[in-house]
Amino acid sequence: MKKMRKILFISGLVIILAAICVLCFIFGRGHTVYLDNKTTDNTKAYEYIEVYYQGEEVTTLAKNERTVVSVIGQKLELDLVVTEKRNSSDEDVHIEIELPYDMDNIVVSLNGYLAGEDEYISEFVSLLETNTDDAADEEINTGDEFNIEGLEG
Amino acid sequence: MKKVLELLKNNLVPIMFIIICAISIPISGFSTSYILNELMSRLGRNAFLILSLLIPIMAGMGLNFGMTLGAMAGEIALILVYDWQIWGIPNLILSCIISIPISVVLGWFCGKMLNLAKNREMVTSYIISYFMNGIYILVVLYLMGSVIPIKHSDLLLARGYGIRNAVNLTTSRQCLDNAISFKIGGIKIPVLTLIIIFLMCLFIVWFRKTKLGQDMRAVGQDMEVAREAGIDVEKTRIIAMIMSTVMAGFGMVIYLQNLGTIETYSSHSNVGMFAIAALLVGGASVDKASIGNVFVGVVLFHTLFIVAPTVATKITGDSMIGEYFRVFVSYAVITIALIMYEIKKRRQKSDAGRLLAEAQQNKEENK
Repeated sequence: MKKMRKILFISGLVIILAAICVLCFIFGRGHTVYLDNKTTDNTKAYEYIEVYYQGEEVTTLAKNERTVVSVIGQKLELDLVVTEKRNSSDEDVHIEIELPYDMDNIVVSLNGYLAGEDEYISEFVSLLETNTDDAADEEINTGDEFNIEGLEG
Repeated sequence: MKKVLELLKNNLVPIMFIIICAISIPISGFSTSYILNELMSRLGRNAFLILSLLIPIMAGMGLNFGMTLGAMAGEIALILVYDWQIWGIPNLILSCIISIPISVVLGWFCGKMLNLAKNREMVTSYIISYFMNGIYILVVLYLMGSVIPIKHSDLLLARGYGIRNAVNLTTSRQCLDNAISFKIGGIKIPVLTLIIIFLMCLFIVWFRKTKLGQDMRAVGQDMEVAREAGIDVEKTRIIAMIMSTVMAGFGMVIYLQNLGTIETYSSHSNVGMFAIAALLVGGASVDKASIGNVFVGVVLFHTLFIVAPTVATKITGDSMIGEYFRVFVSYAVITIALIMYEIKKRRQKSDAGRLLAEAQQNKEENK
């Protein structure tokens, strides 16, 4: 009976921890999201887009500008103040975008999204290669206090 | 007078540190708020790790130099979770959970080994930590990226496998400390971190009163008597080691989120040494340590850590001497505490022998 209770307790604990892990994976997934107001093949850039994230102003994007926000979770909620053309009135827009789980760096075309374009999300690929020369020179300090390598000679 | 002398003798290390701090603080020229701010940060960073040392002491296993095993588990978990791109508080929770199975296996192994080396636990755990460091290096330097999948190239060395010397935890840096925090007079109070430390203290207080906690204390006092009383001594000692290692893993996660950088190949060995030194500075000994010792130790040891480089620069003109001084102090404190413990033990033994001889003599005289 005691053994059974112990097994049940351990199983319950494992299940709870596994459930917490799953929640962490879902709600803790981080993304770097690049927000664009750039003219694409299908849509034109807006005159200005004021971007608010979590109640704070991130920036005001002029035509063909980009900004970046760090997002934890799978949903990006933004408040935008959109000025479509010069001298036109502002429009407040609240948007919610589901972010793809498997992408770390995501480009969101705000003007594309607002214009109803289907492909407003793409993966950001850095053109900068890692400086392999620097990395190759990195000396690994394994903390060998006994200096075993030195003893070989 | 005798009582005062006894008190001084029993608290020689903390008193020595109070004197050194009292001299060093004015020389450093640091403001009180700066020192308190640094101390608060270091308290949040280190207290959990030091608390993990209490349970093996309770079980009579001395200072657990094997806590570095838990620290390694915490580091491996953090590296993996960083690669999975889990950010913020979920990063820390997931790292703690991932570190548990690794810590349990390492703690079980360490406990088994220490059961084979009874009464030589400290030196054995010290050498086990070196042995495990070799395995850790094998895993992190050779298996990660080749056998264990690592997706992000910024973690890997240029050759395509092995983790870099330093991993920047930008996505979880101080997220626990900043989650709930406020400032009083320029001093940042990391409320959530302190709550977690407080809960850990409560857990230790509660645990001491449980059946297992009582068993550990009995084993710590006398293994043979505990065995006679029907306690499974070996199992109890292994559980103590596992608990300490798991807690050290959690402590390492808290420690590294505060620093924001993992020194992949050296962080774990440093924390073990500094945690043990801090506990000893707080007035603990090899066989006796309390929660109070942890906090006194953090305050005194880290006050010296904060002011030492500046004091050294002012006195000698070279800040590196301050850095060496810190390391020297850590090792010196451990050495002094171990010597004092041994002297005390021998004195107690000779006192007991003397009392026994006196009793026998009295008995013979009465006959």
